[in-house]
Amino acid sequence: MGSKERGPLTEPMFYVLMSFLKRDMCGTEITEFVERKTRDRVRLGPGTLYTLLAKFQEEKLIVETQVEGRKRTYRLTDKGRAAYQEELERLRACVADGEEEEK
Amino acid sequence: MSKTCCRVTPVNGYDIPALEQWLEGMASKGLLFSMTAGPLTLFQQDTPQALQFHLEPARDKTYDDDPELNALYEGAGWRYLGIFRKNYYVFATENREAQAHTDPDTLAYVLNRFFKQKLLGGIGLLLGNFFLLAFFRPNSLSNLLYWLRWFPVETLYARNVIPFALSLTGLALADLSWLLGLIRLRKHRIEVLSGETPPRPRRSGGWLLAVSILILLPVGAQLFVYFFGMDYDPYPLEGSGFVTLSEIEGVDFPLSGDQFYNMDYISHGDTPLGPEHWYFQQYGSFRHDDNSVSLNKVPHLEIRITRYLLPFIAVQRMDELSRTHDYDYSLGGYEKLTSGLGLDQVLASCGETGMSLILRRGNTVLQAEYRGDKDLTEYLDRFAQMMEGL
Repeated sequence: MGSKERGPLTEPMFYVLMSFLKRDMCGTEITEFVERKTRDRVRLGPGTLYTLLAKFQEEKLIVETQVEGRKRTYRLTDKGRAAYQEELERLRACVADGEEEEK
Repeated sequence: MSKTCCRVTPVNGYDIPALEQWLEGMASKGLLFSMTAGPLTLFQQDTPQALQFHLEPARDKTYDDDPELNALYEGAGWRYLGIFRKNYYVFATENREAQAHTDPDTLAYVLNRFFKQKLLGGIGLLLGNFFLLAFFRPNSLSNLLYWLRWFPVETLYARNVIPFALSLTGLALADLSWLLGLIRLRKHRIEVLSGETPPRPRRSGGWLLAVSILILLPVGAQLFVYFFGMDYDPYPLEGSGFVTLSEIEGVDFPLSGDQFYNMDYISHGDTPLGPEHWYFQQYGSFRHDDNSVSLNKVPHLEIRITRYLLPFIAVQRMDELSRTHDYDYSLGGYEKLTSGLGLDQVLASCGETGMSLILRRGNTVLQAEYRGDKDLTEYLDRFAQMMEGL
């Protein structure tokens, strides 16, 4: 995920990490955030979101902060924030390269 | 109240697209997925529905629902239906456009994790193969073929040939089912990553597992009976109705005081894959330290009874027994005697020191060997009674 061992993040991965930047989030809130942020360009299927949350937890990019009934809330870790920043830098570099080439 | 009905799953358990398509087909016939039991899938009878199904591979073998997963799916308009063989959570929706997975990389990751789990599960299957085949393995396969040719019934029943053959066949089918499943799982992952959708998933492979389980079930029952000591069930001689040496030689005849040589019980056993059998023997009194009165010279009665599954097996066994010769009694060939007393076949052989009788009643064969100077055929009615009373 931005690092040499993970490779670049896919769009759903990137936006899921992005959703945690300002506050802790649960699954439904993440889906709403991504759809709102991307104006429905990026859709987050429930299977994809469930898998990503579990994967990010395993990789310690997010941690569970609260369990309320069926709702689980997560928080971005420093490692997760670093992975997000790394990916953001990669994307910025991509855009810069593209724009430079178009001039 | 809706009714439950079950079907053999005709699709390999790791072939996710084919399983989803099969469940969709069943729902369109009014059978909504409920749960699985081994190779069977249980359905609730409902009104026919055009549903889209999705099987979400579980992270590990699962017995319980995952509340977070269900909440996410329900939030996206899916309905949770149950767990498929501890491997998948089953969801369905009326929305044909709904997508459970919107990121091919993430789905490929799920499939790869599931593939690795099942690959590791192969170790358990391998251990099962080794344990079963080692447990029932006949000592020598070349000798086995020789014995099977000349004494098929004795060989099949006495040398674990039936459980071994069933284990070999059942495990081969289970292994093949597992291997084909892994190949299909791998292909599905490649299709997901390449964005290809196979036009029509293959619906096959499920019968392999169903047949293998059907074949291995009696082997499992046999193991269960062995391990819990349920294969041996002796009972007292008194009241058994068995012919005894005292009955032949007279009530004052001295019998050996050793319980091994003068059984006061009937040895009796039965297993799911073997015939029910009885054994009893008695010797006249002899002294271990007196060479002039040895075990091989005193009167002796030995009775072996076997009840086979079908009468034709018993007929074949009669033939096998009639071709054997007990040199202790210097027996000659067997002669056929007139049947009667409810017996279907009676064979007798006389020797210098004793005689042997082989009797068949339906699917039960009795062999009585006797050393002494009495005529065993005089007790045919008693042997017939014995067999009737078993």
